[in-house]
Amino acid sequence: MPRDEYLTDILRRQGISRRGFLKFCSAMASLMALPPGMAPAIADALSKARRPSVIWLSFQECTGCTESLTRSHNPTVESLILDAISLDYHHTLQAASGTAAEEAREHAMKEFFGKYLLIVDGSIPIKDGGVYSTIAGMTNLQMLEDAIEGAAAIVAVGTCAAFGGLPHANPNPTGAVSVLDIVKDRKPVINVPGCPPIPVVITGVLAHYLTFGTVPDLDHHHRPLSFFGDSIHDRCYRRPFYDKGLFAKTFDDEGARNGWCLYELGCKGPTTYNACATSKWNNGTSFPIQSGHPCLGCSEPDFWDAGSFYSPLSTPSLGVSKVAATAVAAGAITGVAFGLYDQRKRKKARQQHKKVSVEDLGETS
Amino acid sequence: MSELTDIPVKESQSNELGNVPSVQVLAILKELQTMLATLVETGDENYVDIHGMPLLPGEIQSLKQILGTGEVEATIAALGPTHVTETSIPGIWWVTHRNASDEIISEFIEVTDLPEILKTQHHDLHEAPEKFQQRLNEINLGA
Repeated sequence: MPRDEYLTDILRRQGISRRGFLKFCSAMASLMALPPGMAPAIADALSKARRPSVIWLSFQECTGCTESLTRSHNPTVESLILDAISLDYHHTLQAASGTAAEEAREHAMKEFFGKYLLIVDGSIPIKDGGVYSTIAGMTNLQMLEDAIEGAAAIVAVGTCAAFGGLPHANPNPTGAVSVLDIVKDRKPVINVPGCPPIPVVITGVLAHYLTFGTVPDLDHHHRPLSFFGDSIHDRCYRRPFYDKGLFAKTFDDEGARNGWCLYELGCKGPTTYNACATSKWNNGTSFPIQSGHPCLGCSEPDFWDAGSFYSPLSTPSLGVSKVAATAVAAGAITGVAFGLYDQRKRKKARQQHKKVSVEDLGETS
Repeated sequence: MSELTDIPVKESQSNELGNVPSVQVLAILKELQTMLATLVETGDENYVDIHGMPLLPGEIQSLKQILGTGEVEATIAALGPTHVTETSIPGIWWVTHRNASDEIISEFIEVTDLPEILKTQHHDLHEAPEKFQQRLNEINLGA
């Protein structure tokens, strides 16, 4: 596929009509949380867009972020967007391996210096000189440092790249840090957290860059406001039950069966910013809360260290001094009381070297 | 392997907060009412992005039932099928874009005289005379 081709040429070659292109642009507008009336403007911008070079580096990660993106339904708007970029290096997806793969990365970095989009998934271990994760004999830290200088912008995909994620969790044995911790203010960094991130959020950011050639508006955690501007709680269909004080107390009580709010079962929706409640998962089928499970808060910093997934937010949990005791529910006082009991129980269990199960925690409610 | 859509799903409307329509559906209906008034007064078109709303399948169905079905139904074959339906309220259209696998990629309620996707596209119109001439030449009726 010629690199200097316009996106409209690519779509036309794929037999996509102008109505199809308009439809594609309407879907893009929806992806980017722009008004659908923007579709003609997007069409105009895209007709002038050339395929940007993209270098994707995977560091201390589980490949869940790449799985999230590539397992999205097909053929899709997402796949069209992926066609519209030149993915010059992605060691999970590319056919080349070993020396040839690393040469492809170095070649792209040199040829498109100052212009390529750098995507990173996974955290970067920096303890002991970064020896805990290496690719082709290079530490992740060195590989990232080499790629930063020539990047036009950097997208940190997934909670590990955005905030350190699971590798960063206490006691953080590898000294894992986020991309932003390394890049600082040298280049624009867009964080797309989530464990994994929603596929349309990843492609939505790519679509924005492709369409406008700029970095979207970001929040204080460098997350695009169009996807992370509202909390899960703000957009949750169960919100009216919260407002009425109707909460499920266990996973199989009357409240759970009636679809009441999952706040008291540990839902982190009120403090979690992401697009799950609207974009949803599995082709828009559902999202955790709709399936009856509390939000884990996976798109927030340090969510692994923020106490039990099943303790209400109002409960200050063991070893999470950083977590604010956000008493936002009518049942907050009760929640704190349960939480203190919960802490004592876990302390006792730790002394006895016992694991605390979900069932144990369920007894507190 | 069976498709996700093959799994039977019982859709239920939560009635704990009162009878249908839900508060989300009512909010959208109020918004559509304002948009329709604007269309009549100023001619300005507007849209509701269904995928941007925290709606359940039952609520989407409820919204469709309240808006009803009007006189026009059209299917466009471009990058998968697009279904355009005029609701029983003139000026309010339901537009569902699907991909080639028949999965919904975007869905809008459009408040407009005619949805843009139904119109002949300008670029196509400019190329139409030449295309028509070619067709005439093919059947030896050209000048």
